[in-house]
Formats: sequence, C-alpha cells, structure tokens
Amino acid sequence: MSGGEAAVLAEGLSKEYGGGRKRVRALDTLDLTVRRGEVFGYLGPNGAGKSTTIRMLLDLLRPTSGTVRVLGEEPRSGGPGLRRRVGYLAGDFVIEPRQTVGEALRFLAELRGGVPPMRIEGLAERLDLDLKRKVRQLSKGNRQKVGVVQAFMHRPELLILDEPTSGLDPLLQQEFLALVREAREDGRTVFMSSHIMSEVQAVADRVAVIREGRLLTVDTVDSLREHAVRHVAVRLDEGPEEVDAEAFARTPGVRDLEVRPAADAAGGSELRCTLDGRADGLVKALARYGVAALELEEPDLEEVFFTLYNHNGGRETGGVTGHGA
Amino acid sequence: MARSVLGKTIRDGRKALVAWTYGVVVVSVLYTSSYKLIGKAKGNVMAGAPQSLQKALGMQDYGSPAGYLGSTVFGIMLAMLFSAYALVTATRAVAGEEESGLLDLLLAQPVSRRKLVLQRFAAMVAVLAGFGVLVVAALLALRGPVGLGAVAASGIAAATLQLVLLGVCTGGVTLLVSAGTGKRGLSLGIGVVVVVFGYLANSFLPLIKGIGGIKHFSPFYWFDGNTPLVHGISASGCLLLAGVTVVAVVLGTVLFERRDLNV
Repeated sequence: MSGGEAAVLAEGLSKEYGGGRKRVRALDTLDLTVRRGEVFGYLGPNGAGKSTTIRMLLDLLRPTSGTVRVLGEEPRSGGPGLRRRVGYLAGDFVIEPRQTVGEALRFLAELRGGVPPMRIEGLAERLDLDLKRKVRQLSKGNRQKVGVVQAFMHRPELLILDEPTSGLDPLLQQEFLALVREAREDGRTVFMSSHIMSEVQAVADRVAVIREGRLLTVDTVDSLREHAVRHVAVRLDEGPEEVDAEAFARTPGVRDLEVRPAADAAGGSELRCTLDGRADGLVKALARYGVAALELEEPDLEEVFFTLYNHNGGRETGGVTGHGA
Repeated sequence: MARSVLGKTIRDGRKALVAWTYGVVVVSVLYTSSYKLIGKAKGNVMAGAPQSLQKALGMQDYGSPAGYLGSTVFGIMLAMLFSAYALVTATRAVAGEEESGLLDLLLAQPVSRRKLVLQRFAAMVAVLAGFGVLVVAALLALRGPVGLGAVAASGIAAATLQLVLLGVCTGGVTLLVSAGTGKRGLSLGIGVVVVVFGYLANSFLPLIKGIGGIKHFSPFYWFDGNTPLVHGISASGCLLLAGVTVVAVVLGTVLFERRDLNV
C-alpha cells in the first residue's frame, strides 16, 4: 500500500497459451515499471501482447512465469480489494445490451460501492452520452463511451485502458485525452495501450514499445522523438546543377537525399532528405548556399516505431523513406 | 453490494423468465384441470399398452389421482422444463457470458470469481424454487375442483421439492462444465447428455435385462423413484440430488478460480 511502490511492476513476466505443439508465447520475459502519477503509453501493433499484459494486471489471466505487482499487490491475492482501486477499459468493451446506459453504469457503480450520480452524469455529458438509451441501440463509438465512463467514474488510483479511443470520433478523442490529463493532475496513474501513436504522443510521459511479446524499448516521448528521423525540405536559391549533392549525402545522419529543380521553375532547387539524430552537419553543409526556406517536420511516433522495428528486426532504416506525410 | 450480482442476474433474464414461468404454469394448470376429461380415457388406452411401455412412459397408474399427477404434471414435461431452464441458465452464467466477452467487465470490478459463480448459482436456485412455489400453488388451488383432492398437500409439496432439486442438480452439473471450462458448447452438450441419460436410465434402459440397476444412477430416479406424491419426501433421493449439486458447484468454482479467462 506504500505510496513509494510502483503503480505497475512486472519482472520476467511471461505468458504462454495452449499446450503441446500449439503452445504460443504471447509475452516473453517482460520487465516494466510504471511509476505512480505518470501517464504511461504501451505501444505495439495488434497481436504484440498488449492485451495479454493488461489482462494479467487485472487477474483475468495468470502469468506462466515471472511476477507482476499492481499498486504493490499481486493481482490474484489482491483480488476485489485491489480491483476497487483500479479502473479498466477493455480493448473489446462488451456490455449487456438489454439495459439502458444509466442502468448499466449504476450497476457497475454499485459493485464499486457507490459513485455519486452527479459524477456519472457529468462524465456522460462531457462525452455526449445519453444515459436513457438502450445499450443495444448504441453505435460502437457510443458503447466505447460507456466503457470510458465506467473506467473513470470512481476516480481510481490506477487507470488501465486498452485501446481506449478505438471508435471515438476525433472531437471525443480530445475530450478523452483531457480526462487522462485531469487524472494525472489528480496524481493518478494511467496505463494505456495503443497502436495509434498520436494519442499516446499527446498525453504520455513515457512509452514502452512491444512487439511479438518482447519489449523493444522504454523511453520518454521526447527522447524517442529526438532519436527519430525527421523529414527535411530546403529551398535553395541555386539551381540543382550548382548543388553538390554528394557532399550532402556524405553528411552524417542524412539519408534518402534528393535534389531537384524547384517546382515553380524560378531557378532555385529543392533538397529533400531524412535526418537521423543531430542536425549540425546538415546545417553547416547548407550554409554554403542561399537558403530561401527550410522545413523540418517533427516525426510522429508512427515513424519512431517503425524505425525501432527495423533496427531491432536487423533491417536498415532505409526502408523508412520520406513520404512527406 | 453483496447480492447485486444475484439480483442483476435475475433482472437481466427477466424477459426469458416470463416465458419459462408461463410454460411452468400452463403445464401445471392444463394437466391438472384436464384430469376428468382425459384421465380416465387415457388410463383406458394405456391399460391396453404393454406393461413395459407403460412403465417407460411413467403411465402405469393413469386412472388414480396420484398416478395421474405423477405421470402428467410430475412426469416428463415439468422435469424437462426445470432441467432445461437450469442447463440453459448455468451455461449462460459463466461460459456463455465469457464467450461473448461480458465476463471481462464484471470480473475487472471488485467481484471475486467465487462470488460471481455462487451468486449466479443462487439466482438459478431462487428461480427454480419460485417455479416450485407456482406449481404447488396451482395444484393446491385446482386439486379440489377437478377431483384430485385425494392427493395430499404433503405429497404435492414433496414431489415439487424433489422436482426443484432435480433442476438444481442439472444446473449444478452444467455449471461445473460452464465455470470449469468456459466453453459454452461443451457446457450445453454435457448438460443435455446428463438430462437425456438421466431420463433414459430411469425409463427405457432399465427394461434391458441385466442393467435394471442403472436407474440408481439417474437424477430422474432420485427425483421420482419413491413416488413422492404418495410416499412423501425421499431422504436418499434429496441427499443424492443435493450432494451431487454441492460437489459439482464447489468443483466448478475451484476450477474457475484457477484458470485463465478465455479471450
């Protein structure tokens, strides 16, 4: 119960499904620490082991080996007492269709020992969710809102959210992210999985990336971004024939170089490349020319992610080319 | 909070429950009130049938009041209705909801798996007991007017109690599979096998020479082997039905607590 404990602590956590020859290792010796009070993004493509990890945190699955602690307690022995302190949104949120949204939420609130009706109404209003409608009549996005409300309504110490924004339209995604930020401001911890980088990028302090059941990296969003490739587009006064493309290509960190006449045919040229790491070499190389315009595109985690993949998969980052997205 | 899963289980199933209740009441009322109309006639028809067939269909004694009730209301129909309700409900209680993904949400709440299984089992028992009360009420109200006054109220109560226990036992065994494996099809399948075997082992199978004793393994025999309408409660029958139920439910709960929830 001590406040110094990590919100989530996994050590050598592994999970295998099935038996005999069909045995599948869904999670492989995962080590992970989520600190109290942080928003932690858990990224990976579908099937990477995100939901397996999360379901073990809630004692829906039991580890094959290794240990896991949630708020300092082992999920199985922590039981209902531990789950009272946690809010959970399943990746595939399913709820009994033969009831109204209000009934469903009141029942769940009752199981949790009571939630002020004002709190439920307030959340429903923010997410534009009608409490009087039958669950069966709800669209996928509206059902997801029910899931968000039930996870947040009792103000749990730890929120475990599996693909929380799936099905929510962009406006509501923003509202959801606001809820996550508020939870952090209250000192609560948020552990959220996603295969969409932008939503995690927007709120997470730190991010873990997993693939095929293995942890690739844990880092801050800022640091991941720093190590990522950037797309550079420079407009030079000189024509392509005056630009020493080879000198640029030799500059450390520069890849996928392309020099071509400027689109408006005013005589200048356009240089495009991707930049890995420090920008110093490129800036100095550019200093010899007249730089009319310079665009440096921030990478999103999507690209960071694929860069990580490719490094870890033994392939070169050359596969990730600047598509100027 | 303690009983909210129980109450919710019953409330969620209320529409289907209306249909089941209707079935139970209709079977009880129609059979009972038709005594004068068909009791004698059918008794005469059955009297001409081979002894073994009469026995297999539980119709040896169609003409007498207790014999009539025993082979109609407490014959196949209500036993099948109670059993069917129990096996459908027990299958849904864990395996059905697990396969549809509903259980994830519930078990992520501060609800223990043990409490979930036991409260859902208790909800099923409560409903079966409610069916029993309806059956007793219908019979007590109608037996005088239709000429079945010769059947003692205690006999009706005993037969109904054993009928309820038959349903509870079917539900308990089904719940063992439902909670133990989380597989809906398997749970329904084994529940049906238990009911069909139970029925056959108490009707046709004992007619085969040499395996007459097989009926002692049938829940249907435990339910009506002692002709409760005439002889009252069978302690051994009730103990067997209740004992098998307790073992099955405890085992099912333990298995459920130990396993992974299916995705």
